[in-house]
Amino acid sequence: MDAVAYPEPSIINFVNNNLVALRIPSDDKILGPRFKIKWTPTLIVLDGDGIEHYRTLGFFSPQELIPSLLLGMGKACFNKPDRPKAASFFERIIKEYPKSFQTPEAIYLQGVSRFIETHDVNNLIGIYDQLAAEHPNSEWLMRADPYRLLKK
Amino acid sequence: MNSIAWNTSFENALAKSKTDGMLVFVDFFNPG
Repeated sequence: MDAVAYPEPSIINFVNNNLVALRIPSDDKILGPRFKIKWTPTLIVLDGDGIEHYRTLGFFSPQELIPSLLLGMGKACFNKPDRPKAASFFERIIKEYPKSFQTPEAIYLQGVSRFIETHDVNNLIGIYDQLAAEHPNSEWLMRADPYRLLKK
Repeated sequence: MNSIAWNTSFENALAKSKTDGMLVFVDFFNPG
C-alpha cells in the first residue's frame, strides 16, 4: 500500500478529506488481538466508538481503494442506521466507479437501503435487473436471484 | 498535502472521529 496506493494524490485527498486515518502495526499487543489481525494489510473502517463496520484483507490498487472505502463508509451508515446516507455512498460507487470490483455489492446494498426506507419491492427487483444487465458474473447476482421472482 | 495524515494513537483517532464527524480508516500494517 505504501508503494503504490498511498502516495497517489487522489488517495491522499480522499482519505484526508473524508476519514480519520490511523496506522497500527499488526503486532500491536492490544489492538492486534482485539481486532483479530492475522495477516496484512488488513484495512478496517470504524466509527467513533471503535465499532468495526467494514474490513478488507490484502492489497488494493489506487483505482479500487476509494470505492472500497466508500463501501465501508456506506456500510457504517447502513448499520447506524442512516439508510439515505448509506444509499448516497453506494450511489457514488455506482456512478463514479462503474467498473470497480465493489460496484455489484454497492448496487445490491443501494437497492436494499432504498427498500428498507420505502418498502417498495421495485427496489429489490431493480437490484436483480441491474446486476443481471451489468454484472452477470457477479456473486451478487446470485444473492439477488430470489428478487426476480417478485416480478408480476 | 502530499501524504496521508496518519494518526498513530487509537484513542486520539476515535476522539478526532467524534469531533470531526468522520469515520476512522485503520491500516493494520506489517511492521517488518
